[in-house]
Amino acid sequence: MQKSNIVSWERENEIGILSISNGKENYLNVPDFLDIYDLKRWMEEEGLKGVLITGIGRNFSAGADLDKLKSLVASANKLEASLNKGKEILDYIEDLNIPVVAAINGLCFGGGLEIALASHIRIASERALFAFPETNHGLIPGLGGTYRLTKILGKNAIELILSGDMINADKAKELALVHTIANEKNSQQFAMDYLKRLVADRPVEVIHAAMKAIRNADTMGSDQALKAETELFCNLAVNINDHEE
Amino acid sequence: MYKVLNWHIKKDIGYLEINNPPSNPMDVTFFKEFYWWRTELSEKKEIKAIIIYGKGRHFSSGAVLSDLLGIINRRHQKDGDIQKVSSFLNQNSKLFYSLKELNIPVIAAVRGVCLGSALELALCSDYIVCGEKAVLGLPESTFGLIPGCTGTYVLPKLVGKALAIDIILSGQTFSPAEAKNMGIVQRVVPTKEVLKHAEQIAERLKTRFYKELKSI
Repeated sequence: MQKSNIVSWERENEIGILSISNGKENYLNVPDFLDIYDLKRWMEEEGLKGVLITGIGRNFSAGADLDKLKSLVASANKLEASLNKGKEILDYIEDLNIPVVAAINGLCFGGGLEIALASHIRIASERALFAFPETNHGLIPGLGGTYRLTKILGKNAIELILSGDMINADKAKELALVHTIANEKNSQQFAMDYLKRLVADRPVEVIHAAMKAIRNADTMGSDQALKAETELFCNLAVNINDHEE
Repeated sequence: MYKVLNWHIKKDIGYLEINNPPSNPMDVTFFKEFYWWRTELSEKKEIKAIIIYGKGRHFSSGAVLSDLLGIINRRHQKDGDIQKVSSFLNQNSKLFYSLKELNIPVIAAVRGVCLGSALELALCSDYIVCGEKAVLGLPESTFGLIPGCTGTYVLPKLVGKALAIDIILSGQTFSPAEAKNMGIVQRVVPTKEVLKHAEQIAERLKTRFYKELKSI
């Protein structure tokens, strides 16, 4: 097991596990909750087909430690630099060409929810709770959360962001914020089994191509995305032909 | 004039039947004829809506893998340039996606199997009516490929990233009820009534439709 700031990394064969570990609530002491260079190093490991993000213990993450955040706010320059680093980490996670699944137990607030939103698929335990409490403190989500949440929830994002209210797993499922509710207290094993099933029989090349193509739907117009899709398809097809000769 | 497509117009509705039963596969001839149909026949003033369906029990089993791999392989060996192969094949995607450039609604009436490129074609229509026993899915990843005819672009727009990854990487088929839940199909009806419902919807949409509804 390796560590970077409050995050640890371990492998379970083809799957890598990023665990957030900081006290009971897994507070993010700073927006850049791990070192991006460590993250990149881990993601470049051989044979990696998927990543599970989870919080150690009963909560995913309750988000920013308000006292720490306030001291950061006191120095606007520092805050902006730290937020930008945090954004860079989340953008990197979102852009990964292997599926990233967040297994969410308990609290998933603020920065914790930002991490979950940068993941591709969210699986929650029955008792998971979601919120963006930033507006209660005169702030808004600062790591891309307003954008990502709106992409997923449409106009329903407005209420969640402006009210700062909590929603439970059922409501999150109804809003399509959550893909599946694990019918057990701990979502981690459920999410792990799901992710393993998803990638087990798929070669790394197929996973990369599928994830890239799906990502393109977000970032490209139709002409460009369709062109890229055909190219990814042809590259895989040529490989199949080579194998069969 | 057509071998695997039938096209007829009844009053102001155009009917495009995929006619290669029982499974109506999308082979090289299909894509050729679909191109002719799209460029020469689909846009006529008197047509106010289009219904696409399969002859017999199935919509279509999708692209014929050996055809596709054959084309790609031959072209690749000839040119040695994957870009060229790809831009040739990209015409099929453009063709399906061009249903969105029509000013009239396109309704897919889906019975039986609707897999791979067949589902991609249906996803490029504006409304899917689905028989309750239909089988839907994008199984490409189970044989080492990805959907290559608009699926990876259109599906995430429709159902979001999480579900799109799930459907595309798992390659698992799903039921019409699940498809309706996910927002992929709009109406599920008894198999025998699929065409009747498609006509009803065509009638209703044809006078009120405007092109902007096609944007996803």
